Amino acid sequence: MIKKLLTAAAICAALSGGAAHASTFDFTYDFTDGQAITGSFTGTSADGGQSATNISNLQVTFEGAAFTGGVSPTLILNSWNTGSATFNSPSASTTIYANGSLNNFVISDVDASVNTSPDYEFAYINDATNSIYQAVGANFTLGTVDVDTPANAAGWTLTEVAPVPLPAALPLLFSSLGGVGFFGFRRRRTAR
Amino acid sequence: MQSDIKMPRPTLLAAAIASTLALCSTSAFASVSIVRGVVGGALFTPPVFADTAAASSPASTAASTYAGATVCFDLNGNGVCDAGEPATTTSATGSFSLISTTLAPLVAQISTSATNNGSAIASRSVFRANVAQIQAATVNPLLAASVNLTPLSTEVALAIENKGQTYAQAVANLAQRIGVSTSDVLLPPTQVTNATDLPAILKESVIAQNRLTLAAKFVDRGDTVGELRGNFDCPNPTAAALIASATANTSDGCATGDTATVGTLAAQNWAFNLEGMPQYDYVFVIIEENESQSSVQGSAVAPFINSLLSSGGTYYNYFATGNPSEPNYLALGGGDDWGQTTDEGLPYPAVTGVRGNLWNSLDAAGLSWHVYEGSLYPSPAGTTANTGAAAWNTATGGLWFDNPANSKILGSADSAAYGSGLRAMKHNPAVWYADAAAQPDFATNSRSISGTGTDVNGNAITYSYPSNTSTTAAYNWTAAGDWDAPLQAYATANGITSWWTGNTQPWTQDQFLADLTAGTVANYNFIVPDQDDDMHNAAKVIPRADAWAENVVKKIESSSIWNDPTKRVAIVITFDEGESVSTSCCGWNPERSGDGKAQLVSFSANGTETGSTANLPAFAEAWKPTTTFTSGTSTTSSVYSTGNHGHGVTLFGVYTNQQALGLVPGGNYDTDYYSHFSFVRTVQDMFGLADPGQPGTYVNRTKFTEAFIEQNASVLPEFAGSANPHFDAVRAMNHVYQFPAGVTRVSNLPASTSGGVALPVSTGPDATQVNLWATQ
Repeated sequence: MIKKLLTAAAICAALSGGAAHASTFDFTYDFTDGQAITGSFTGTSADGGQSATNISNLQVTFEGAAFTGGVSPTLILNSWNTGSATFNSPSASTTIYANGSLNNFVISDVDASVNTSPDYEFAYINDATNSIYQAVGANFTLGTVDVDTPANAAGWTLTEVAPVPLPAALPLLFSSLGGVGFFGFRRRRTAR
Repeated sequence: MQSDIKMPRPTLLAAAIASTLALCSTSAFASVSIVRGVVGGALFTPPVFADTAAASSPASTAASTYAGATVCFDLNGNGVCDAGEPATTTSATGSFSLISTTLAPLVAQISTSATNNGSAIASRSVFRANVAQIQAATVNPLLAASVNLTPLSTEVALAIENKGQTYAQAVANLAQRIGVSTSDVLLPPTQVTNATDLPAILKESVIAQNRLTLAAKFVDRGDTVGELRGNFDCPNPTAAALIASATANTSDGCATGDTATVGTLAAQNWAFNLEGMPQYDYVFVIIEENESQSSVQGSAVAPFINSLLSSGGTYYNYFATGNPSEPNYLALGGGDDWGQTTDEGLPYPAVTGVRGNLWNSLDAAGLSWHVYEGSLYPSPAGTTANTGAAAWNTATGGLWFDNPANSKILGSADSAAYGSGLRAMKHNPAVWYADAAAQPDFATNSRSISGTGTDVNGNAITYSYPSNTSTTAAYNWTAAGDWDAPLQAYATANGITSWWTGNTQPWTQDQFLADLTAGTVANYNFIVPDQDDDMHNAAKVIPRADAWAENVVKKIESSSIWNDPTKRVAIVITFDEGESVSTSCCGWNPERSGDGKAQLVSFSANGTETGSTANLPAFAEAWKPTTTFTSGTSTTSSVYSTGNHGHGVTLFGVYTNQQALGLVPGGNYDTDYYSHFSFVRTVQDMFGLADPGQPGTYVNRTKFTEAFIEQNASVLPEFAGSANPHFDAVRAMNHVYQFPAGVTRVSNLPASTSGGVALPVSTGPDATQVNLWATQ
């Protein structure tokens, strides 16, 4: 009975565009010495635009130079694991928050969980467990870098620009429906 | 037939995965490096030296950062930021961020266009950080590693490179050596908040910065290995030519590698080993009096001193530089006796006009010094401040309550029992230099010592030569340190406080023990027994002084600094005078009555130059005295008409904690020719007070190296008649010089004397050509 209710809620969430919906976001990070990171991505907005998951279509520019042409043709988002002090494998659940002090991620042209040699990166870590607080912008092809230790939460902004138009929202809908189907599949297996 | 040995399929798979991962980790996925840090150190404001306290001021040190320094990843490891290496410039606060796709050491080039806390930098230097420091600070290659470039990070790099230490060992050793936490030792001083650690880190920063500045000079001048290890013959063609033409027994020349110029890394290592003299943290000099080498070395009534020589090292041709006492103490304090040939030093000070001496040199380098004197009189007035010469010898008793007529504070009965004037002002080698004595720290540097009592752990000391056991009555001793208890009782009864604490603490007759216990002894400690305990007075002289020295040495041996292998500690025992013959070596001035040689320069009573100064070259003008020597009971106008005569060979032994802890061998000897001048030069080397490439940076006669004499022989009349400048030259006591095969040293100690001790009378180089000051 509970699973039915959850399934109904997921369908409602996917279709209504209320609590969680696909959206585009812009972000900036202003380093304390004046340099800046700017960028955007597409993701599932939650908490009224205060956080985003299912992030894709990452675009980052550091000091006017876009992160393009790196190891991976598209930028990759890795979350930080405070338990192991390493980067987790890429996951749709990785969250970027409007509250900068909640962020623990790196955007780069590599899967940071297995490759520590990117051409570009923007890391934003607030790890109370290991006392690591820093923001790093680095373009290894140009040799430009800036580091804030501790990270400057006041310099971070995340802005939900607009809900993603329906065609772009379809993958999100399908993924939610997929979840519904998965629950149904599990129910049937369990019944057998 | 199938093989019986099969590799299971899973194992093959695992091997393939492992090899793939290995490839990934070493090539395909080599890590980037991101570093962020501060180039920091200390801003040292040197003291102002003058002959009066009012015109003098002490040094000060502040935590600092370097703005405008170039920081780079040193991809080729040469200690230089080369073109093409990732580089940046430090901000106004000394901070930097830097990235590289290749892990490499970090270098900070601090040029004269950079600033230190906003102050101009007179001479460039280089700070470094080893790759291991970056690796240790790296949590993840995609995050910034906090790596600060400081003088101390450079010391860690040098320890890894030259002493075979791991990064962890190098950090732990440095932290332990200077007494700070491992978490603070590599922080820029501006970020150190621990109130105990900060002063220690600042002091070490000043010490290391001075040496790293020297290292940059070595590189910029193109100095050679030969110069830096103290072989002055080798690198200089002029000197080499003079040696070849003027001396018959000079085949030392260049050793393999001596002609190579040094790069930054080698130069920095040499800067911490000037002329081959390792950096020392603490040196204790125990000065004895008036016994010849042959009456002590090998003597059965000086068992402890001889055991010290056996455990440590012995110099067999070490020359006193004058007679009587006072000229030698002048020489031990400043590398010259300034023409003094008597003990008529009253009133003090004797040498005026700011000029080099060990005390000022140590102050100017941020290092500390103490003179500990036995039977020091508690000042009845509780002297509160050093006000210069006027305070030293007042009728009411000042800081330097020396005049026996004023010293009978013990009362007539005690005076009758113990005599008066046991402590001799003339045996204090610092008081003679007016500019040193006028420094604000002079009072706090002048302290008491006792040759009696327990060690720092409260354990009684057992003496090698027990009292009252000799069949020779004169050698029965019972009263080493005989004034200590009455003086302490007097001080306690009268509520006297100690001037070295600014009169905040009660007087103790053994501040030395308190300092050893607290770890507050100075870097350079000159220890002066009273005249009953230094072999000066007639009765029971040798065993009593042997016991006094044993008490002091065993206190040192019981201290934590001595037993800490990360600290470099040396004990020297030597004498002021020699064998009562005017033989000498080592930068002496033979311009004395009747020798017929030209006088270098003379002065009238009011200090006016009257000699041949018009012909003095610039270098001579730089070191010549600036005022006349003033003697209390006679007027000496010609500074160099007398003095530096030499007084023959005397005993000199050195015993280090490195030997005691088994880190380096002991029991060696050195038959090279040295003198008080050599020892002062050696002290300057071990504390980094001078630049071997610039003779003028060594004080007074200690600059008279073989190369200096040879290069300037035509304008140094006192050396005009010298047959061989090797034996006239001052050289550091480093045993670099190797006697040519045909030269036989005639030891001043016949093998038939001294209790049958076999003394080396050898031809050619010593069997063990070992630097007796060597450290691990």
